[in-house]
Amino acid sequence: MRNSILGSILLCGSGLAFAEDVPIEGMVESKCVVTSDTSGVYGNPNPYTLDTAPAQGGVHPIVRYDVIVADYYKALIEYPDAFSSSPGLDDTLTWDGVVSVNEHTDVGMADYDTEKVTYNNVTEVTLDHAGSTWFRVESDVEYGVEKSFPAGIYTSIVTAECIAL
Amino acid sequence: MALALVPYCSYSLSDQIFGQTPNVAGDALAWSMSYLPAQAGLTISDVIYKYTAVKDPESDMLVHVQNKDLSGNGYIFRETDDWSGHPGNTIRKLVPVPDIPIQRWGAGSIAVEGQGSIEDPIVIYNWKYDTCFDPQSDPNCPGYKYPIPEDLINVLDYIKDPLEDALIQQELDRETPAETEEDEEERKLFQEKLEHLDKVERLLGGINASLVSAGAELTHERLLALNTLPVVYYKVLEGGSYSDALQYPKQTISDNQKGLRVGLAQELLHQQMVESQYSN
Repeated sequence: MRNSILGSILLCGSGLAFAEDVPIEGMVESKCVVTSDTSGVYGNPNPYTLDTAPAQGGVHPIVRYDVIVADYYKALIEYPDAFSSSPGLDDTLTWDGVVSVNEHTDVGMADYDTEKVTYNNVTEVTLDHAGSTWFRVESDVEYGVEKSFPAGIYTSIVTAECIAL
Repeated sequence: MALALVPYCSYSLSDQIFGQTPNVAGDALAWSMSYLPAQAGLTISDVIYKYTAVKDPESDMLVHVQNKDLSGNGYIFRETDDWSGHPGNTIRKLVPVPDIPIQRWGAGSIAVEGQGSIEDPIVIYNWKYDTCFDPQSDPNCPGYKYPIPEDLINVLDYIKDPLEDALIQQELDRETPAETEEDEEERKLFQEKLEHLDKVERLLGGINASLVSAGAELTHERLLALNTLPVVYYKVLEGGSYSDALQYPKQTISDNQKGLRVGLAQELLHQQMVESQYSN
């Protein structure tokens, strides 16, 4: 009788030792997707200017924002204020640029141009409509005071982010 | 049996073909649907359009991209963009439609209501069709039925059901009149007459038979008196029976010794002739 009670206690003790952690996993996919639609090209209308305007021989870069749910994200786009790679430059660069709505899938997105907030080289737009918006980034830069750019390859970067509100 | 074990193999050419029209609004803001291929079973699955609205942000403006419905009044497709209170810009849309058959798609247009205009319009239709929408278009299509040869069809035309003939049908439709009491009495009288006639015929038949036999005998006597008939006509052949008289006596046949000797002599001679060829 004593042996049987002792055996029961041991079994209970061993049962308490089996604990199990049950994981819960979830995956969150962004409801805002940024895609590079068109790569930009600098035109060189004169020796001291690089410009993405088609009239100046360039191509404006275009970035597309696909928003599945409205009012939860904002677009943050920076036009370049420095070259990521270039020949050696020993004079100042004067950068300028504009970010604007090029195309959109919802009529209400036409208001993004009037609603956008700009500071420095940054443009912020609250994405309050679901759908796709193509933003056009215009960029131009002048070297010194009408000083000729050295020959070579010039590369700059447009930064486009989708930030959750 | 072996053929029964061979698995049946078949394949189908049924396939979905997809495509899209060119820009149907390139020349004008109204267009026909002649840009679509004339293909049975063709349906439209998407309408893609793009245009730039030019307007004052304060003004009201509605833009309709639409197609008339050929099966009735109204539109089979109509997408409206309300630009009222918005600045002009370029809009680009892809509008899915639930595979609407081409038979319902009428003329298309872009209509503007209010103040403003549009520039650079682009309208494109995505279409698709099944190559086996009509199974008879290809023998490999599922549901294809081999057509009956025309000559066989002509033969079948000549075969007519006799029951469809008007005269036969008229006879079949005619009702048999019910037998009345008068008809019954007539039938009994007719039956009695027949039985009476039968008795008369039997009586006359016996008398005629005896008269015919006497006439035939008289004619026979006259013919014999004339002596013109061949003798074989009235010659009586003698009858009788012929018993089987063939008998073979039982005896033993001995061997032909003379023939044996001749055979052995010829054999001996043959051997001598054969050996004479190798003696030299």
